[in-house]
Amino acid sequence: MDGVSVLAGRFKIFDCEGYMGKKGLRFRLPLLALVIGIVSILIAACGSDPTATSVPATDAPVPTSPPQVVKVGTTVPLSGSLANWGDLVNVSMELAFERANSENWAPGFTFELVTEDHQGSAPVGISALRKLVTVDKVPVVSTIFTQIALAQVPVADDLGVVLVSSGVQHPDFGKLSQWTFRNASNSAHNADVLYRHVTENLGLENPRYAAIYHGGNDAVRILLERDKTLLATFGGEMVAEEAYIPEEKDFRSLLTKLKSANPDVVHLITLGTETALMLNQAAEIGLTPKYFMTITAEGAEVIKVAGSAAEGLIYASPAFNPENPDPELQDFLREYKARIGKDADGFAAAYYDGAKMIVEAVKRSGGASSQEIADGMRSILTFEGIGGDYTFDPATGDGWQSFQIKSVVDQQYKTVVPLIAPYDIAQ
Amino acid sequence: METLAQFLVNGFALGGVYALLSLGFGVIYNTVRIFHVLHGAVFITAGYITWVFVEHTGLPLYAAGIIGVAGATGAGMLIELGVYRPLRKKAAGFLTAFLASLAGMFFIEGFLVAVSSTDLKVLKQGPLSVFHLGDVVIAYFHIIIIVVVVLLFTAVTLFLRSTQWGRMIRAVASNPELALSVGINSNQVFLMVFALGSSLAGIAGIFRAYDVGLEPVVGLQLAIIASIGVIIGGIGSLPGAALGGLTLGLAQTLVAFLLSGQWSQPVAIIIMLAFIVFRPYGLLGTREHKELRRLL
Amino acid sequence: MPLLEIQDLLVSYGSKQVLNGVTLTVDSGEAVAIIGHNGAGKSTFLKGIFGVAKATGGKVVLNGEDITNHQPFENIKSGIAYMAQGGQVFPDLTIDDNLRLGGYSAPANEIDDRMTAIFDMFPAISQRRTIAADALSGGERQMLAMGMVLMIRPQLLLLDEPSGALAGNLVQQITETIRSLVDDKGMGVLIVEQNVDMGLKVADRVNMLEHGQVVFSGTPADLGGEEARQQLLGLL
Repeated sequence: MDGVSVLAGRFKIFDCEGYMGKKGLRFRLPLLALVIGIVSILIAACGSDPTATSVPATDAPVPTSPPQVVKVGTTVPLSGSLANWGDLVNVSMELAFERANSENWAPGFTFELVTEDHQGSAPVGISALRKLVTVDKVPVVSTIFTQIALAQVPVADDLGVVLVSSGVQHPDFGKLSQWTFRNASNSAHNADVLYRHVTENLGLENPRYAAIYHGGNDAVRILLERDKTLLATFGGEMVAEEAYIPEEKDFRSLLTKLKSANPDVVHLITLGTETALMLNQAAEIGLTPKYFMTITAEGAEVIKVAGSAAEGLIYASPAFNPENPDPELQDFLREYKARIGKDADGFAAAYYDGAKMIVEAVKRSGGASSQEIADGMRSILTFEGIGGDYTFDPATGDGWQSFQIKSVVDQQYKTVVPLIAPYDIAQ
Repeated sequence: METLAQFLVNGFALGGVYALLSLGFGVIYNTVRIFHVLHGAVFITAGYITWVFVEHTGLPLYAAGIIGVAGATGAGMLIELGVYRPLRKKAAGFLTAFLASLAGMFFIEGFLVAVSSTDLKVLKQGPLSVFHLGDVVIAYFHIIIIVVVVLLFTAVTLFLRSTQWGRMIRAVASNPELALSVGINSNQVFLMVFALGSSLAGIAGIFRAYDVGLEPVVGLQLAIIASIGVIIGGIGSLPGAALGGLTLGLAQTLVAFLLSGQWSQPVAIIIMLAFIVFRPYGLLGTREHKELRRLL
Repeated sequence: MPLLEIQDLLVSYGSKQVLNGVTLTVDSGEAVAIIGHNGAGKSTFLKGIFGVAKATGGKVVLNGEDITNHQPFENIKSGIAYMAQGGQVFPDLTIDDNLRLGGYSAPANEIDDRMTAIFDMFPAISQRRTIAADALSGGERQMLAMGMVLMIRPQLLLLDEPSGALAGNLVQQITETIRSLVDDKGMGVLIVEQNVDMGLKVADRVNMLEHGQVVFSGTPADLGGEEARQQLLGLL
């Protein structure tokens, strides 16, 4: 054995041996598979590699002579698997601030957006928030994505900075802190609207409900609880609840199981991509109940992927109506499309409105400290935006948007019930 | 009972794609002894190329698919030439090659996110066409997958058994030093092995893209599935690799059926651990690989 | 002109110098044995010639052509065959496939004829052509390994311990085979042997290697009578 193994270690000429090491390879493979498995789970949990957007730091005191510049921070994903969301949201806010500055919405103040990448990861979202507050000295930060926003709440609390979201649908977001404000449709209210619709408009009596949900998220658990409350209110029974993980794309087992429970209505607490695949795979096995869900139905090419299987999908969405001739809305739609090449949706409009509300809060309180902005926000009870009308609970700072009910008809998103005002919603 | 039959049908369809992927991974691992995580990137590449051609040139699916498989084959060979061969020249170890592969995988993933967004790329619209066998629903496409997997497996086996290239590949896998001594240029053999394994991954990628679609992040996930398939099938055994992949597909489907879909990923890791501990030579590993048991 | 001429060959593994300048020649129709301690550098010497280990100095000349550090596949084409220590075969492949691969560099149309010739030479393995080499006994494996290197009909044969751990009658058979290759086919054979008895029996000339250098060179007869011989054996 003298030469071979020694040689293998030293000489490139034994090509394969360089990678083997005679004895090592047979246990290395499984071991490495395990390591990769663990690593990949961590990666899945934490998002991908960091490439933070750097913003030049400045310690200069905020100028006191007019106009005072109000820096508004925003943490959005600019890299990672959710990267495409960052620009969609930021452009909306930029458009709002540009208009606020040129039209002098808040006399004496101009607004400037400072962006940090949160990569779709909660830990990165926290450091992005800290950086914005401690380095860039922003008094208010806008954020997106429930998981990240929730992780940021205690930090915002510590730092005493206003945290606004125009997209987070977690039922409790606004209630979590005196610093959190929201102008977005709350997923619990979303469910309210849908159960009501099923009962009052579709005329189903005591329907058999089932829910499919992506696991692990506490907003989802709140929603499942909410389902039970709503069943008590509206009637019907929950015959199956099935969890999935978003990385999984083959839902046939889950759906086969669901089919045997024979539901009339399925509540999809799912993301857009999976929704399309589920609709396809359910149609294959002949599972054709009514489905309802949130505005996610409009995301991620649901119609493109599911095609005919998406027919009849019901969802509640913010009462955003791009047909509305309101000039501010039409300006927004035009400039948004010009800047990013895509049509603005309800989300984009809500972020415009969220930015506009920050301006309004500054205007109302006449100052731009975190406390002044928070007080200003709290004083806003109703707000008419381009994305719909909002109503706020002054006690919590939580708000909700007016809803509409839409459905997929002939491969198009069609409005079925145009406006459900916030005050109509069952509490 | 119908539900169980339905689950079996679903499991075979999923397992067929896994089997192909594991077979490709096994062909490469058994010969080159590289933990080729980039196999996942090759897998996605085929689907993406096919998608681009279908979507932007209106090429019929089969033609775009052929380009996709060719692209995957080329990608695999480029990875060997551009990543692994230079590392071998520097006498880099197993771990270095693995880390390079992992880094490459992240790079490709990031690249795909950057150039084409994270949206799911599906090669078809709407549900698959199906037929009914009693109460069991079977998609024609899944039958195609299973038939193609069986044909490819047979073809690969015959290729390795009866051709000069096949003998060379087995020779390098079996005793690399001796292969060198009889004058086999292992670099050529490695290149061939990457072409073969990558074309299998490419076909699997297109199947997946047609059936449930592809996202950039799925590459690493399926590279892990492929390696687990090889481990539970038995390192060194190609029938084992195919069987390992199939077993994984069936197991994941069964677990989703009996417990919940949330368990379908952890179960793959659990099965692998069980094999490493209780049956380290896998389902069909050769006697030689029972050494694993002693080593652990 | 000698068939093979080695001048001052140096080989080192990292910082460890294994060959310190070995010089020797092998002619056609001649068997030259290398004997020496374990770790004297005998195996490394063959590897250095064949291009499996890198020569850091000196020259390997075959038929007047400098082939120092040529790749193994080039050396095979030049007519050198190398049989590594321990009866190296492809364990997962059949005997037939092993021989075919042994003849990998030989002309394709001669493979079948040459296989027949090998089976004539080693009838013991001819009965089991389609079984995996893994199943062979140690002796059969050694024959197969020898058969594989003979598939290319080399001018120069480098053999690393062909006697291996074989039983006496098999050693005898291998010795006869090698002698007939030298005497009947005119091959040059360079043979490394731990088994000094066999080395002396098979070789026309003997070189003794110590610390990577040739410390003795001559014919077996030069080693003198039984006494010197026993002394040498004791040394080893």
